[in-house]
Amino acid sequence: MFQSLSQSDIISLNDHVARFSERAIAPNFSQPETLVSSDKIELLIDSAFEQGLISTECSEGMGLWVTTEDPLQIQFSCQALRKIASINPGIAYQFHQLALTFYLLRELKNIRAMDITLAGEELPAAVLQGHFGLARYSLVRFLKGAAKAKDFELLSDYFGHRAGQQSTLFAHRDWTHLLSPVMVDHHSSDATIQFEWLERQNLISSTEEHGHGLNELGHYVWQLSSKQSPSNSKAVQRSTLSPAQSRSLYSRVLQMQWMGLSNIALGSLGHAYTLANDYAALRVQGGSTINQHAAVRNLLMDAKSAYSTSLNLIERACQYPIDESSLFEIANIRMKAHPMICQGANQALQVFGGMGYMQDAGMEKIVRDCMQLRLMNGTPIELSLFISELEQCK
Amino acid sequence: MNAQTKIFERLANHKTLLATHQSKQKQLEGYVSTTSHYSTRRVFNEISSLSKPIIQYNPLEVWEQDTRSLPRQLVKYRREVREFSIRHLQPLAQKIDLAEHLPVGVSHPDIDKLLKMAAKKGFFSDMLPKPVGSVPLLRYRYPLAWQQAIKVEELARSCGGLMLLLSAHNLGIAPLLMSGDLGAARKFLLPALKENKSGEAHLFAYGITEPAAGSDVEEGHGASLYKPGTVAKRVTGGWKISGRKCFISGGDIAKSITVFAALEGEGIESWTCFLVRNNMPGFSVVRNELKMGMRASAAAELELDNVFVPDDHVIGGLRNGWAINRSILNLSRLPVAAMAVGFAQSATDAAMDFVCRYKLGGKELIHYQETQLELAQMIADTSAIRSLVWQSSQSWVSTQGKSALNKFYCTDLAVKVCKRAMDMMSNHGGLHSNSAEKAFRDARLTQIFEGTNQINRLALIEDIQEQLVSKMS
Repeated sequence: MFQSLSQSDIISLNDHVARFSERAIAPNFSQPETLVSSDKIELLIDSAFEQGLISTECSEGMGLWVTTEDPLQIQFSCQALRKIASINPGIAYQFHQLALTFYLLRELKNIRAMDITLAGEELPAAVLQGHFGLARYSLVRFLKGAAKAKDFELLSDYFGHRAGQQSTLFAHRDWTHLLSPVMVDHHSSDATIQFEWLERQNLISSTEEHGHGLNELGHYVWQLSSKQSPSNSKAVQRSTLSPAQSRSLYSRVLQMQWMGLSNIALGSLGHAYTLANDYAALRVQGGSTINQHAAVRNLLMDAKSAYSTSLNLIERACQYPIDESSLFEIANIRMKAHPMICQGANQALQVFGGMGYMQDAGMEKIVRDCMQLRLMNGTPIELSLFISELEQCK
Repeated sequence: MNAQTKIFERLANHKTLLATHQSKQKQLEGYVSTTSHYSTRRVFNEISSLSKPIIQYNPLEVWEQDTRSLPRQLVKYRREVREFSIRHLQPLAQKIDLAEHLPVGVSHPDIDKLLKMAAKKGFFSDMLPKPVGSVPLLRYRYPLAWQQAIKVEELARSCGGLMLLLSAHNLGIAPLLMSGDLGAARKFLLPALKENKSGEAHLFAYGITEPAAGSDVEEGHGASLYKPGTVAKRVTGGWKISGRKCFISGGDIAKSITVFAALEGEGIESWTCFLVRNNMPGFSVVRNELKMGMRASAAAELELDNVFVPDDHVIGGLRNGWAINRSILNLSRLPVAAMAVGFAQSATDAAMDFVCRYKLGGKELIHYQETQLELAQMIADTSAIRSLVWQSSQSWVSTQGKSALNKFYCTDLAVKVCKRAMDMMSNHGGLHSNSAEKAFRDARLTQIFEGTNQINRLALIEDIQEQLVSKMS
């Protein structure tokens, strides 16, 4: 069982994460222009398991996303992701994704909806998103129990992952299995989002040679092959969630994903601000260090203000458990905070002038990573539709 | 083409597009069909013939409508550049963007081929009229800034890096043109133009930025306080130049570089433009930067280690470099704004293609209103910045304020358009194959080079300083 944390636990856990980040992770990412090898990423994943940061079980209470019920644990997960992302957003996303996958697997097991046992070399990945956006109004209607036939129809397409509907995934290059949602029985009143355990070797997937960001990970475009198509469902392990369980679980993991993405972006913005601030204190133009010029101060303050405002929003959300009632607040944070974060990172790059455009300064990567994170699991346009429908469903 | 032929051509276009439209028998959700009693397509046809000249539906695409608004010579030019860009730049764009970062001195074979074609096409000699340059005399009636704006937009629309590869040269030769130094132009420019027209690319690059001076070489106040890093020392028969220049577009492949250096013991007020050849002893390309975007064109760091430059390689006279540089920035910032238009157009094109092709819930995304709203905003923003650039470039004199405001306004808006395109593609927006992310990476440089957008805002204020001072009590 999960052991609750105290404030002093959080302080010591954060110290532990900070040491792990500085000693184990940071040395691998000292040259932003050089892509870290897949082997090194794998070693870091192993270290994260050893340190208990990613945990298949929930007994330790110190892993990422061990529970959604304890606000202090949520706070820890957010702080840890920000710290790791301040060094490298790609590795932070990998840790987050694995922790989320194990959370899902644990929850599915606990409610006896699916029981997956991983063999030694197997590395899972999870994807929550259908093939495009957030399925307009239909996903939120499902989560609020207000979906109608046309919504189930759209969700069936959204989670279909068939030819012509290319789904996207960021994961370590050696992933072996994918936990992916699917709409089941969409013609009946029992229509539900279930999770399928898909073997990589039976999927059609290709790696994009150059994803916009998170280049440490593979950027995959994938779809179901005939072996794992809905018509061949016997070949695929599928969960047996009731509609209520499905709504509750999907709602929680979607919010965890949003919190993860926002915190990773925020951590990297914090780093961008520090770099820009330090640079502005050294670089001389116009006869003085550039931090004396209002033009540069404006840029720095845009970045700082984006960081502080987003952090306040996130910390407020961390005071409560993540459940169906927190959906509005967390979606709203993601919608409002992420564009601010992207803009802040962009302004931090501008402080560097021409140097900011060069890969070795590290700033352009932060901008790309923040943009990439913004595109995942709902852009501001889609979140706006999602939230508006959430209000309609009240 | 007489007026009657023009009318026939227009009618033909109209009929073709109408037929294509009707044959598909499709319409967007939420809109009346073109045959509806509420459709402007139908009701405008039924209106009095007297009103028709001022009430019409124009079936042409925006690009075609914009093109036809130009003077005839520029219409022709825009079509030519567009054709070149589609035929030679588009197929290379994604490939070169992903290509391995090559060491200094090694170039991609496709790039070499493209440079030769561009040289032959006259792109490296299009700052001067025929027979010296490649611009038809009739086109030379229109300002160079306008011609260059048209050119760089169309090239940037296909690929930022390749556009820069083909455009940085004009910045390199600008000192020879703007200095009014006929002797230098005759000695250095004419032979290079001849080489270019024959298909042997002789490229120039423009060297002002120094490791310790980005903005300081772009504005007067900073320059007045800056201790120059590249210095020319007087020796018998010429000058010995030492120092470093960084982020020099095309500096790796240029045979000639117009290098700005201060005279020994003096400040930037002594800046002098020197013509440096890449084979002069002491000159070397130290490295090519790894960049966020515009990867087809190198940003080179150049080292000058006691490079001897003869007296006759001084361009525009001693201590005139600062004036030459500032006049060139006034000329070059407008094309940067035009590049931004090209990137915004590229992102809009990519988003438009995507939303008309990609389906959600069995319907193309374009059927959804939220998609239409975003697309409309992108089209409007792109159209607005193009109008600004075209309107501002219709003068032979590029003023500091006008060019600076074009530069910062258009580039800021273009980056927003690119972000919007990525958002419209949602989780597919980061895929390289969907092009919008590349347009964003390319566009991002336009907010930085030719003076950051912050420096350009201050340049606008500097240009209206007298006006502002006169209002002070």
